[in-house]
Amino acid sequence: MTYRNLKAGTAMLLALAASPAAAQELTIALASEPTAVDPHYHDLTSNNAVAEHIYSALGRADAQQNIQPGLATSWEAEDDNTWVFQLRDDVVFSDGSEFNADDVIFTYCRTMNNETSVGTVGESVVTNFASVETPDPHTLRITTKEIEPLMPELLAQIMILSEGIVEHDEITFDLENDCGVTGEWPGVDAFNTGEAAIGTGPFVLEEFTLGSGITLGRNENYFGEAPVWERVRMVPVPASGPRLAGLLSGDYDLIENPAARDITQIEAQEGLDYVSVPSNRIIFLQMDIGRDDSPFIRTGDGSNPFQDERVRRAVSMAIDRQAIVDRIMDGFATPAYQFIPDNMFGAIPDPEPLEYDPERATELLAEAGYPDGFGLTLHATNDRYINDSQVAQVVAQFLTRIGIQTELDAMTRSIFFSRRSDKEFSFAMGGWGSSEGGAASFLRQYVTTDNEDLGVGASNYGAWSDPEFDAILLEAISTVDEEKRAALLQRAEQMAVDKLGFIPLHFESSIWAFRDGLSYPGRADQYTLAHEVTQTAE
Amino acid sequence: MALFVLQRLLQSIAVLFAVSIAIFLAVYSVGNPADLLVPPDATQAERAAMIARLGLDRPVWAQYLTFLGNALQGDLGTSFVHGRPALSLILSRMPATFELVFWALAIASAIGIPIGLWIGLNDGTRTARAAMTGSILGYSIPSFWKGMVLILIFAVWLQWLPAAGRGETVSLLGIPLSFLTLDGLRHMTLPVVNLAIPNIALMIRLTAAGAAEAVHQDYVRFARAKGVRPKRIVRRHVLRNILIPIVTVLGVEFGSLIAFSTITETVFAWPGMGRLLITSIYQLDRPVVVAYVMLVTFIFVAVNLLVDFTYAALDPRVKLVENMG
Amino acid sequence: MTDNSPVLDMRGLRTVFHDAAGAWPAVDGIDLTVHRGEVLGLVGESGSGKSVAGFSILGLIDPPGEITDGQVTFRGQDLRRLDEEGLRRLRGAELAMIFQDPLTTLNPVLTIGEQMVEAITEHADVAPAEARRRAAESLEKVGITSPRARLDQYPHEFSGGMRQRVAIATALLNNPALIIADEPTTALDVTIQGQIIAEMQRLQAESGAALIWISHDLGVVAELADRIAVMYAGRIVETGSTDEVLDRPRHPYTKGLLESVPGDAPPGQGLRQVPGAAPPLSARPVGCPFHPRCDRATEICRREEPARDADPSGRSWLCHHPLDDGAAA
Repeated sequence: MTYRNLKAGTAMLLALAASPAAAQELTIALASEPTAVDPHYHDLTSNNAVAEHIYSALGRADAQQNIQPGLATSWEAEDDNTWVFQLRDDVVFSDGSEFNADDVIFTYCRTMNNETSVGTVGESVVTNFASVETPDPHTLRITTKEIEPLMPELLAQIMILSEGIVEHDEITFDLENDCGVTGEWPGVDAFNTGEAAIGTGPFVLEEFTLGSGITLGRNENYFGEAPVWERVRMVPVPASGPRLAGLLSGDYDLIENPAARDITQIEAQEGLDYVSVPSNRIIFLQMDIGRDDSPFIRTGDGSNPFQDERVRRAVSMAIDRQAIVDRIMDGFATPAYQFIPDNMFGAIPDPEPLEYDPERATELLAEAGYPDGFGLTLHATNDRYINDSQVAQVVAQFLTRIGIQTELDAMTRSIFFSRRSDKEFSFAMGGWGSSEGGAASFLRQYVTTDNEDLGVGASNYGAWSDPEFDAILLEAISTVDEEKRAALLQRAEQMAVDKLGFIPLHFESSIWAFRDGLSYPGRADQYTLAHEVTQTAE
Repeated sequence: MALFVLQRLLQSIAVLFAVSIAIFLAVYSVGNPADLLVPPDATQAERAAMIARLGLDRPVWAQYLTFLGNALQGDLGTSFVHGRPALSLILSRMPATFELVFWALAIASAIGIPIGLWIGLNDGTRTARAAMTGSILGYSIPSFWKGMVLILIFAVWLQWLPAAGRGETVSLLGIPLSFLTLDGLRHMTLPVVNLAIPNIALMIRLTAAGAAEAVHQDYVRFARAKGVRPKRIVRRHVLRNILIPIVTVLGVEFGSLIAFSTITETVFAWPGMGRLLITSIYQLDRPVVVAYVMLVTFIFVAVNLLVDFTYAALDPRVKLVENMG
Repeated sequence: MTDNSPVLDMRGLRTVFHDAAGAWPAVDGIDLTVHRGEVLGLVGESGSGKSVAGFSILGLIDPPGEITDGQVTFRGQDLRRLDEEGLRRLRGAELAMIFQDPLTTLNPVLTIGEQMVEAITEHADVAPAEARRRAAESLEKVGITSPRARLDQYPHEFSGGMRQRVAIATALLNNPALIIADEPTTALDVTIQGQIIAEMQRLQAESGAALIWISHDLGVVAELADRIAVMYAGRIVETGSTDEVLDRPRHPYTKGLLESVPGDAPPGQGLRQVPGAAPPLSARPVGCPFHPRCDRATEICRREEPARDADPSGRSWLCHHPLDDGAAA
C-alpha cells in the first residue's frame, strides 16, 4: 500500500468511525408553532414547512423558488386550458402503498371536502378544474375553466395524500359523487394522531404534540435523495431569547430567526455558525390615494397630497434605505427598488436605485404645492415584521425632516390588520412575501384596481388605480407562455415602480443559526427544511 | 353542610354566567380574527367566506346566544386556529401547567414556611428584619429576566440542565406527567425554580407576618406562662393559627398561577395553558380565550370552595352557613 | 413549725424598654415581698408599671424590653439566675399567672381541654386520661358545670366570665406556691367581678398559695388583700397592711386614690380625681415623679428623688412630705 493510499484509508476509517457517534438526530427550534400536520389545514409558513417534510407535491420549489420536478417528472401546457403532468412510477407511500394518479385526484377532491380547515387551502385552484383525466395511471391531464398560467406553481403547493386513508370505490374526479370516496373525509384530527399522515416525503411522522413539537423519522422509501438525519425533532420556541439560549446550551442544533442583534454573539462564540439569505419578503409603504379627504392627513386646505406623484416621490427620496438596512436591520436586509427580489420571475433585472435625496425631496414638495409640508400619521405593526416599529419610527423621522410632520401609531398585528382591512389608514407600513407567480404575486394583490370578480386588488386599501397598468397585469396573469408572461410582468413592475403608488423599503433577510458541523443553504421562502441541512467536515 | 354546598353552587353559576357575558363582549369587540387567519393573498371572496364560516358576520348577541347554547351542552366553542374544541385544547395543556404550579408551590411552602416561621418567632431582632427585607428581592425581580438568567447560568454556562421545553412524560391515570422521569425532572427544574422564587418570598413574608402577630398574642404569652415548651407553642399554638391565612393565600395563588404562569411558560417554552392563552390572544382565537377565562373562573370558584372547607376545618369559630334570621 | 420565709422576695427590680432614643425604665427599682397564704394587692393606674412587674417575676419580658437589675428570690431561688428552661419548669407549676383579658388569653382554635391538659403534661409525665380527670376536677372547683363535656368545647363557646374561671382553674392545676393575677376582673361585668373575686378568695384560702393581685381598682383590692403596695411611675410609693394603708395613707398619691373611689363621696357631689395624668415612660419628671400632680410639692420635690422611709411594722413610703400619722383621709 502506498503512503497516499494509507492516508486516504485512514482518513476514511476515521470518518466512518466519527459518523455513527450519535444516531443521526437533529433538533430544530422553530420560531412559530405549526398548528397541524394536515397539509391542507391552514396556509401558514410553519405548517407548510412541516408539510414539506412528510409529503410531496407534483412539483417542488427550490431555494430560489423555481419549481423543480417532484412527484411529477415533467409537465407541459398542451394549450391555454390544458395541462399534462407525467408522474413518477417508482414512488411508495410511507405505508407501503404505491403512488399513482388516483392519489392525486383523491387529494384534489379532498381540498374541496375539507370541513376542518381554516380558510381554504387549494380550493381556489381545484375549483378552476373543468376535468381531470388519467390516460394511464401515471399521467394526469387537467383542463381548466379559466386560463391558469401558474398551474405548476400552484400544484406544487398542494401536498399529495394517499387514497388509502379513506374508504373508496374507484377514484375519479367526480365532485358530485364524492369522487368515489365512500367513507368519511379526513379531518385535521386524523392527521394529528398520525393516522392519516401518510405521505411520500423524506420523513415519516412519528409524533405530533401540539405545543411540544414534532418528531420525524427518516423515510427509508423516499424516492429522492435520502436525508442525512435518522430522526428530526422540531420544537416550537416562539420567544427569541430562550431559542438562542437553547442553541448556546447545545439543546438545539439549529434555530430559526435569531434576533439580528444576537448575531454578534453567535459570531463570537466558538462552535456556532449562521447563514443569512435575502428573503422575498418586502417591507413597503402603502398610501391612501383614493380619498380626497384622508382621515390621517392634515393639510391646510384639506387636500390629499398623496394624489400627486411628486409628493410620493418626495416621500421615497426622503428615506435613506441603506441607513435603515445598516443601522436598524444590522445589515440583515437589502434595500428594495422594486417589489420582488431581482432574481425572481418577472422582476426588473437591474432596477435603478431609488435615490436618497432629501433636498430634492423638499423641492418636490414645494413644487407640488406643499412648501410647508403637511401633517401625517403612519400606522404600522410592532410585532409582525423584523424591527417593524423601529423601522416605522425612522421613516417617520425621515419624513419629518423634510417637512412632513409624521406621527407614528404602532400597534399589535391583530388590531393593525383588522383596521387596515376596514380601510382606516392613510399611510401604513406593510410586508409581503411573494410566493408563486413571481412579480404577479404582489402586483395583483396590491397594485391592481380592486375587482372581486377577477380576484385582484384584495389588498389595495389605498384604492390605487391605473387602467394602463391593470390592462397589462391582467393580460400577464392569463398568459401561459412563460417568456411572454415574464416580459409583461416586467413591464407592469416597471410601471408600478415608476408611479410609486407604493413605496418599497427593503427586503428582510432570513437568518438561521446552527452549531459547527452543520450547513444550511437558507431559502427565500423562509422555510426550514431538515432534509436540506447537511453535515460538513468539522 | 348540604345547604352550604348548594348555596355555593348557585353562586358559582351566577358568577360563571356574569363572567361569560363580560369576557365574550370584551373579546368579540376587538379586531377581526379573519384578517389573521386568511392567507395574505386571499381574495375578498375568500375573506368573506372565512368571516361567514367563523360566524363573525352575525351580531355579537347572536354569537353569544349560540355560544351559550353550546356551552350548556359542554361545548365551549371550537378554536379558530387549531380546529379543535377549545375546551379540550386547553385541558390537554393543563397537566403541564398543573405540574409546574404544584411543584413550585410545594417547594415554596416547604422552604418558605419554616423560614417565615423562624423570622416571625424572632420578630424584632436584626437578623429577622434583614431576612424580611431580603425576601422582597424574591418577588421584585422580573420573572422574565430571572428566567433568562437561570437559563444562562445553568443551561448555557454550566450546561447542567436543558434550556427549555418539557421532558419525557409518563402517563399516570391517563394524565401525562413529566416529573416521574429523569429527563422530565431535568427539564422541569429551571421553570419550577423560576416560578417558586417569588412564591418562596410570598410564603416567607406571609408566614413571618402571621407568626410575628401570633407570637405577640395573649394566648401565646399565656401558654408560656403555663410553662409550655417552645416547640409545642410553635407547633400547636402558633402554626395552627397562622395556617388559616396561609391556606387561603395558597389557594388563591394556586388558582392564579394555573391561569397565568404565562411568563415562565414562555421563557422555558413549557407547553402549558398560559402560553396557549397568550398565543390565542395574539391570534384573536376568540373561542379559546373565552373558554380559557371560563375555565379559570371555574377553577377559582372550586379552589375557593376548597379553601372555605379547609378554613372551617381549621378554625372552630367559623360557621360555613350564615345563620338565617 | 411554720416557715416564715417569704415565698417571693423581690429586691430592686428594674425592667427597661429600649427604643431608638434609649432605655426607659417601666419598673424602676421595686421591692416586693409575699408570704405563704398572703394576698398582696399591687395597685396603680395604667402606665404605672404594675403589669410589667408581674411579667417580670415570671421572666416573660421580650425585646425590646429587658430586666436589667434586681433579685427575684422565689422560694430561695433567684429567678434571674435561671435559664429559660429553668424558668419554664417553674411557670405554670409552682408559679402561675392569670391574665387580664379572658377573651384573648385562650387559643381560639384549640379546645379548653387541650389547653388545660398541656399545662399538666408539659411539666410531668402524666397520662392524658389522668390529666383530663384533673382538669375536669379543677373546672368543677371553679364552679363550671358538666366539666367533662366542657373540656371538648372551644373558648368561643364560653362567656367572658366562664373563660376567666377556666384561666383560674388552669392556674390552680399544679398547686402553685405563688399566683400572680394581672387585673383578672377588669374586663368583666361588675356582677361577675364579685363572683370571681369571691371564688378566688376561697380557692386561695383553700390552697394556701400566695397571691399577688394586680389592679387599678383600690376598692377591689381592699376586699381581698392582706397587704397593699401602691405603684406610681415605676416605683412603689407606699406599702403596708391593707387596713393601715387605707386608713392612714402616708403618700399623697395613695390619698388621692382613696378619695377618687366612688361610693365614698356623698351623692350629687362630683367624683374626685387625682388631677393630671401619669407620665409616659419617656417623660418621667426629674425629682419625685409625682410632683407635677401633688398639692404638697415643694422645691425639693422638684429636684430630688425621695428616699425610702420605713417603719418597723413593714410600712414604707417614698415622699419628702408624707402625710402625718393620724392625719385623717
